[in-house]
Order: sequence, then structure tokens, then C-alpha cells
Amino acid sequence: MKNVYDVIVIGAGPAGMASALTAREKGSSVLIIEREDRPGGILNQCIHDGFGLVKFNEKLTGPEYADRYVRWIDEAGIEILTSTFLLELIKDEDEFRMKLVSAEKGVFSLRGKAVVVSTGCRERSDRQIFIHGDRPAGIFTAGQAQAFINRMGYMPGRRAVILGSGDIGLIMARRLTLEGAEVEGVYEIQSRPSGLQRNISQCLNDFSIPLHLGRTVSRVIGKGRIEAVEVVSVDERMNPVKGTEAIVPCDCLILSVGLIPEIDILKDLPVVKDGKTGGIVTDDRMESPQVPGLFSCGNAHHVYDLVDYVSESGEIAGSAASEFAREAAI
Amino acid sequence: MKNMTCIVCPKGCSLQIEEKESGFEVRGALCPRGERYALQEMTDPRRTLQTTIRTAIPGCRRAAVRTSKEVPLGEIFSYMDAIKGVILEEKKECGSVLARGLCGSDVDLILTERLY
Amino acid sequence: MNKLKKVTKELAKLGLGGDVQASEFRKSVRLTGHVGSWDEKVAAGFAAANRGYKGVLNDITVEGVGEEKIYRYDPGDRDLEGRYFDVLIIGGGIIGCATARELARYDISIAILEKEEDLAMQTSSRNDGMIHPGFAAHPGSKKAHYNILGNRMYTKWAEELGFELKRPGSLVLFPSRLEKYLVPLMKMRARKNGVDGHYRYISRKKVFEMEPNVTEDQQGAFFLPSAGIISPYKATIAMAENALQNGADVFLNCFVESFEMDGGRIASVRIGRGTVKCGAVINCAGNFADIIAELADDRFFSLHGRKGTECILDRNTGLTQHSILSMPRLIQRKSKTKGGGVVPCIEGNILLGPTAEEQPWREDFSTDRGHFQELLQKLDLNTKLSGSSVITYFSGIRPASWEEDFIIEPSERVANLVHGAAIQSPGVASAPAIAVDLAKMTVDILSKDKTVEEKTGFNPRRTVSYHQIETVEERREMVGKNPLYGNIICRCETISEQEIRDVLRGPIPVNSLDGVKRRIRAGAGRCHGGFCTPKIMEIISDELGIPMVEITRKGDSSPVLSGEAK
Repeated sequence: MKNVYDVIVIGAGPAGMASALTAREKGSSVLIIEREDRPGGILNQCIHDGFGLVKFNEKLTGPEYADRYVRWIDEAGIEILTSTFLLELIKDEDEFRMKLVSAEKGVFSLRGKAVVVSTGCRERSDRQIFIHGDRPAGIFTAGQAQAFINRMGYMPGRRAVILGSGDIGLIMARRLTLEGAEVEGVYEIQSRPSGLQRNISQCLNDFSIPLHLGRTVSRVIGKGRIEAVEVVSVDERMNPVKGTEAIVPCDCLILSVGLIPEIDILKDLPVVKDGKTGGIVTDDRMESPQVPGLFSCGNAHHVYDLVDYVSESGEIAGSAASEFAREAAI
Repeated sequence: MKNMTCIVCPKGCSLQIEEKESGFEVRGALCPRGERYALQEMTDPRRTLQTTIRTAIPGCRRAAVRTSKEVPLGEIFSYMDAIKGVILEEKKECGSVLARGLCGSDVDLILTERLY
Repeated sequence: MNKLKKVTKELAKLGLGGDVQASEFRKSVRLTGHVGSWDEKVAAGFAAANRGYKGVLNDITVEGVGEEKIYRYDPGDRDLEGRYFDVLIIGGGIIGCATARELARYDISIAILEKEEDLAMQTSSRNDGMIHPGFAAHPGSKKAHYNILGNRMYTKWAEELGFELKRPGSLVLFPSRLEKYLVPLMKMRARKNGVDGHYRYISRKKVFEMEPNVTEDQQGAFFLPSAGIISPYKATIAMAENALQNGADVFLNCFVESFEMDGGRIASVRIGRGTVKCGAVINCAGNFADIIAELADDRFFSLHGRKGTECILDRNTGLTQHSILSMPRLIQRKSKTKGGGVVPCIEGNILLGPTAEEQPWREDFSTDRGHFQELLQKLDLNTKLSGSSVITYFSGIRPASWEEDFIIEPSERVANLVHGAAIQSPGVASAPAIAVDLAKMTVDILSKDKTVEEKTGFNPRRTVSYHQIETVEERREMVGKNPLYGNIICRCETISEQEIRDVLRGPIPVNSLDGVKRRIRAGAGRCHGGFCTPKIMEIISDELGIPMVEITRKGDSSPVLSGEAK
């Protein structure tokens, strides 16, 4: 391993791997940093299919989609530092300097001419949508429930209420059902579902799971572990309508209420945050106008519907980062 | 007439199917795959199935798997039971066949992840 | 009967003459009857307070308000059966733990009995962590006395016990020019109470120099430099750990059922885990202190739970504000916000709160939309804050007596019982000083039967066995010692596997997610444990040998998972 690279990619998910491959193809020296113990990012827990239809014209599962990229990364001889955490990222004159840590290497430094931020996104929590009532165990984000079931083989509950009709929520409704849990229903505060129609069809309708539109969870009930939720209808201004409350017994509440780009590592750089997407403002080459040489792609840039487009954004960022590094060298 | 959402691709076309003497007539599909889906759905609805199985590999509690082809929707829980009986004893390549002829059919079980 | 007539007259004034009866019970006044709302019961309680009685026993029942089932968990062992301790402290909150630490200076056996699965589970963790300057308390009250002393003592306690203390000072903001005329009164009160530091009026210009992000309309402020902040639960745990190092014991999941009395003394305390004999008992039972007093047939006060909701903003808001901001209490009676303020927490987050709501329950920590909205009004004091920065909110319950003052005294009826009760705000600020007095009172009791001496080996300094790594340089050093300090688990707060393992090996048993979170902030960041919860559970499982499906969020009744997948 060197300690200077043309392009350093932060995050080995679909965006990061695509950008690394493109940058490598264009002749740059590339390193990928990954905080988890393996590349693939969130795809590793998305064991359902439907990935890659645009890119490969095939219906792949998340881990299969990831596997294709990992093979290419291997073939291209691109280094990935897994279980490595980025502690600090600053720009010093013409290059980026980072401090990282891993159990294997301890605290160490790297320098890069260009940096691609492909750190993905995180889920909004129960606190961020202002759920009230008790605070028992048994409240999960959909992604957390997915990690427990798919990666670790544990059930978050046996009788679930799902709040929010985002795609992961719908997919988890099916997944829980397949694993023998009962899903009481999916509640969506908006008047239309936020997930794809096909997921309503194949995840809810196939298993007769009810979708309640214009209805939300107003209160959580249960001291130790969740025992029930109170659901209520809302008016056009999202205010609860009195008299429409109902108590739904359950032993877990799963939230699929939105994703936010995770770009906290950019706090020391003068990037401008895009109020709408939660990512940073970039030009159409995915570069920050305020921090030349800093590129952002994938869900860290804004939350995409399809992984195929995530990879595509990675290719754009990787290509531009490679060009930037080449020009910087001259 | 029956309405349904095509699940073949993320576009999710709204399909209308009408039974005529000559057979089913499908409207609303933007591609031939949608039409095929609708016909299949009317006669024998099928779904791909993905889940996980237990493993005997240290540090790897579950491995992701899928069926090699679509299985009858009505039998999906029988397939789940059959799949859950399979245990991955050792590391294999992503794409390996882990079991053949699930539930007496010609459907195989495929490993869908790279094991580290 | 003058006092009683006065109380009856006051009740009549409230229109409760027919529904509520007042009678004398020992030295206290007891209210009975049935009313239609909790507010009426509260009004009656306050009307009877400070009329010359020792306390108010408010036994009024309220329409629609039933019994509250108090949480208890019995692990099923009888490990404490037949054991003896010189002192049993009931309640592992900040008062109990501070008192244990003070008593540990003496050559006596001490045990803290806590009904929850961890220390500081209720009022002591559910507050804003403010070390009040001692300005707000009524001159001459116990609150004022202990607050001033406690505030002063924190400097040394923080240093000895190794918890963080900052004194950013508190700015009581003046939203109009009129408040400026209150300054002489404020100074007089501060002087009367004995507030430390150079408290003073601050001009509008100076306010904006100190706090550039406060809202434009502030016209000046009263500055109290001695106001401080701590993490109240870390401080509580630090106190207990130091007591432990000096020989005290902590027993968790110990719900006190009853006392065995013998000749006007408590001979032993019956808990789920056995009957424990004792020399003396200290009642630091927080919201349950009146119940404990009753168990000893020493009923002279009653508590009512005043709920406070607080909310924590993302850590990146911490840089927008230096001092504690509040509005003057004197003139905001009619406004919706009841005190509280915008507090820069020790961890760097901004905290809003608390609200104040009279309600019937001792353990209902739920939040609701209405009080939360009220809380968010405080965002208006700092222009850089917004509702989108909220990462969490919670509520706590202040154990208030009707007299609104602390009860710190030996029992008049039970020879070996000491009360540290009704400790609401400024309880955290007062804790060290209260502890000194409770310890003294207890030692006096014990001294009647045996010689109690200070022990020579008392070490006031806590040996810190875990902590959160703050800087890159420190991390470099720690990874050199153990590579697992380099395996980052909680990405929002940058906490490694070994930091979590250290917590799990700490002196007081920790086996829940919240227990870990209270000691180091693993899972307390902006993703709220979304990513790290499964990993933290794996570490707990591995370190303590607990199966994953048995790991809880906050003790026995709260398992995180429901079992294995198919």
C-alpha cells in the first residue's frame, strides 16, 4: 500500500466500486476505504431481487449485484481497505489528507489528489419523525430489521406494524411474513405510497398485508417491550383527526420513513449542503464547486430509487475524479 | 376485467387483462415481458423467492439464497420450509447450486452471496 | 386548630370545600376526598402546603386515575438473604450514590439497593445536567442552601471522580428593556443566597459578543458565571464506582417490599433477593420516597410527579452557543414556557428543556406532541437552531413535595432512618452537599451503637476503567495498546469495540444497550443506533456470554429481539 493515490474512494458500496473501477480504467491509482469488513455496502443485506435490470438486463439480488462489482475490482487489482474508519478529512493546498484507523493498521494517514465520497445514507429514526408515547424496545428502522433477519438470522418481532411505505419497509413486510411473522399493516401518512407500485403488489398484495394510506402511528404503548401502537388518520395538513384513533397490538414497529445522505465526514470542508436532498451541492460531474477535487455520488449525493443509477453516478464521479487527478499532476 | 401492476421491472406498468374467447387480452404493458407476466399471472402466478439459510461456517450465521427460477405463489411457504432445511456446510462460490429439485420440482437453490 | 381552619378555608376558596376534607395526621395535614381532575388535586395540595404543618399527605383520589403498577424485576436469586450492612441506601440515583461515596469514608459496610437494572435510571438521568448557580431557589430554603454548597463542591468532585464539568455560565436573557429594572432585585437575591462568582448585568452589545446567535430582540441579560453542566448519569455512576472502590456494594434489581421493624427501628429490609439486616437506612428513593417512608410507618409527606420533557439536538449545533440561555422566571408566569432553557450539554449537543407538567404518574416517561411543541418554542432563543436538528427527546419526573423544598432529615419516628426526599431541581446541583449531610446524619445514628471511624485507606479518586476516546492522538496511543480500539463500531460517535468492552468489564454490571449508552455514547448519535445496534449486541453477547435473543434495551422486560429466524 502506498500513502498517496490519485483517487481515494470513501465507501465500497455500489457507487464507490463503480467510481473506483472507472477511475482505474482511466489510468488513475485508486484506493477504496470501507468501514465494514467487506465491500458491497447496504447491498449485502438486500437479499431480495430486482437489482441490475437496467445495468445488466437481469434480475439480481443485492449481494449478487455486489459480487459482480467485487469481481471486477479484484480483476482490476484495486485495493480495498476494509474495517477501516475515516476519522478526519481535510484539504491542504492541492491535496486531500485523511486520518484513518483500523484494528490492523492503527491510526494512519493517506493523501489523495481527488476524493470520491460514496458513503451512502442512513435512515430516519423514530425520533426524527417525532413519534411520541412510551419508549420501549422493539422499534426498528427497516434497515436495522433487515440486518437482524438477513445477516444475523434474528427476528425483530412476531407481530409487526410497519410505518412508512418506502421500498425497504414494503420489502421487510414480505420478508417478515416469509419468516413466519404476522404483519398487521403498513401505515403511510401520505395519501399515496412512497415505494414502487410493484413492491405494493409483490410484497403486500401477494400476502394480503393491508396498506393504510393517510394514517400514521400517533403513540407507542409499552414500558419494556412494545405492546401496541395507536394509529390515527391525518388531514391534508398532516394533523391527526380526533376520533380516528385505533389501538393496534404488536410486538415490533418497523420504520421506513426516509433516508438521509450520510456526509458527516465532510464537516471540516467548506462544502454547501443541498437543503432538498441532504447531500452536498455538486456540478453535473458530481464535483463540489467549493472544494475542487471532491466528488460525491450514490446515496451520499442524493437518495436514488435504483442501484443501477447509483452505479452510474459512481461512474460519472470516478471518471471526473480521474481527470481531476491527472490535471492536478501536470 | 382484471387490473394488476407488472412486477417485472421497476416501471411497474398498470395492466388490464380481459378474458376473451380467443384468450387473455393484455393492455397497458410497455414491453412484451409485461404481457407475458400478465398471462402467467392469470393462469399460474409465480414468484422468485429469496431468503437465507443457516451455515456451519464460523462467523457466518446466515447465507443469502434464491430459487433458480420462479415458484408457484401458492406454494411459496412450502418452498420456504424446504429451503430452511438446507444448511451450508462450507464456503462456496456465489452462484453455486446448494440443493436441487426443491419440493420435487425442477427448481434449485442458489447461493447469492460471496462468503468472506 | 387554627392551621387546619386555614387549610379548610383555602380549599373552600378553590371551590373544593365540599369534595376535599382536611384532617390532621401526626404533625402533618392530610387531604382526602374525590375530585374530578388531577389539576384540582394539585391545587388542593399546594393550598395545604406551608400552613405550619410538617408536611401534606395528599390522599385525594381523582376521577379516572387508578393505581400505578410500579415496575419491578426480580432476578429470582436470594443472594442477599441474611446479609448485614451497616447502611442500606434505598435508591441508586444521584443522591443515593453521592451519599454512598461520602459514607465510604468511614469504616462501615454500605450497600445501595436499586430497583432498576442500572443506576440513574429515572430522575437522575432524565434531566438537563445543569449545575444551577443557586439563584432561582427561594432564599432561606433547603434548596438554596444545598444548591450553593453543591455547586461549589462540584469542582473538586469532578476532578476527583473524573467526570467532566464545565462552567459556561448562565445568561438570563431580557426580551424587553423592562427587565433591566429587575437587575437590583436579582442581585439582591443572588447575594442573599450566596451565589458564587461575579454575577452581573450584561448589556445588549455584550450579550451579542458573547452569544452571536441569540435572537435580535434580546435587550440585555443577567449573567451567572458559576452555572455549570455535567452529564448527570455519568456523574452518578462515577460517584457509585468510587464508593465501590472504597468498599461499598451496589445491588441492582432490588425492589424494596417492606421493612421488618423492631422497637422503633428498621431491623431488616425485605427485597425480592432476600431479607437484608441493617444498622441504618437512608431513603433516597426519588419518586418513591414517600412510599418508602410509609413502609416504615413514617408518613409525613407525599410526592407528586412533575414531568419534564427535554430534547437533544445534533452535536453539530453545539458550536453555535457557549452559555446556558434562559428567560427570567419572574415575569414569564403567563407565558407557555415554564422555565428551562437552551443548554449546551457536556457532550457538545444542545439540549432544550425542560417543560413542567403536573401529572399523576411516577414512572410514565412517555412524551406527547403538545409538550414537545411547547419545548420547540425554545429554539427561538438561538437563531442557528431548528427542529430538523432534533435527534432525541425524553421526559423525566421530578419528585416534588407540596412544600416545594427538599426533605433532608433523620426520621422523627424511626430511630435508624434518614430521609433524602423530594429532591427535584436543583437536585443534581445540590447532590454533593446533600450527601455530606445525609452521611453525617447516618453516622450520628450508627455512632449511638458503635464507634464509627474514618478509614485510613479511603481513596477519593475514582479509578477510571473505561472512557470515550476523544482525540485522534489518543486513539493512536490506545490502538497501540490494543488493536480493538481501532475497530470502530459506532460511526456517529466514533466508538470502538474495545471502548465498549471496557464498559462491559466495568465495576458495576452492565448488560443492556442503554447501560452501554449511558457510560459511553455508543448508539447515542444521529443515526440513533440504526447501524451499530446489532454490532453492539454482538459485543455484549460475546463479552458477557449472553445469547443475542436475551440482550435487552434497558433491563429484563425489554428484550431487543423476539427469537431466531426460521
